[in-house]
Amino acid sequence: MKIHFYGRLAESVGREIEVDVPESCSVSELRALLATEYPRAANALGHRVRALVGDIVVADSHIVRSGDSVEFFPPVSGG
Amino acid sequence: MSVRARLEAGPFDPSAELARLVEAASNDGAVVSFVGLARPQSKDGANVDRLVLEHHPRLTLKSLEDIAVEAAERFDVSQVRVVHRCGEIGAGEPIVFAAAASAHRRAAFEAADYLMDRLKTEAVFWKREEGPAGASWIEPTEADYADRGRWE
Repeated sequence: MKIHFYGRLAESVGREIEVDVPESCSVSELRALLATEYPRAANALGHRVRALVGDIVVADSHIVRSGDSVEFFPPVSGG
Repeated sequence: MSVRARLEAGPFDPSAELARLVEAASNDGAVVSFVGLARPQSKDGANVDRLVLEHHPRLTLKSLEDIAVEAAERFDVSQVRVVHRCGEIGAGEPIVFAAAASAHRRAAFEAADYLMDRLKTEAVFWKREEGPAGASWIEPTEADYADRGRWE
């Protein structure tokens, strides 16, 4: 599964990584898996970080599949 | 009604944006504009050389457009403009131009205020300040979220 990170998450984990996930898992399970593999990003992944699939924000209960591309957004800010 | 939002990778001239809007608003009674500038100092007083705004290839422009359209729908305005920089912005350079025109001033003031409150918390950018002391990420403050909440 391809995972994209932005902002401070990209700085600590990288812009794009590929991870092996079970056939299907929830976004919260994916967050836990990433936090284990990337301890530096553990806090960053939890606090106000949104997950997107297909450019749409998804809930932590959303089921992602191994072919999905998931993006994690730290808090955004313009102006 | 004319609503325009633009993402700029290079410097832009707010006075030219305002001049164009004033020309387009010749049948209105009011134009209100806001220009945001990159500050030369961080909140804790450290010198800042530049602000770096990372953006998303698809969702950043869409977020600007959505905010502009919702301002136009919410207030009695005839024109809404948003111009937002991305990339490296030197201290003192404009980051954002947000403006509205209306028949009477109140709607234009409110629309510009609303545009900025939403841009601060919902425009899809990730900002960091860079200076002699290093780099630090800037995220919305509780005050920014509270300002956004005024419109709910």
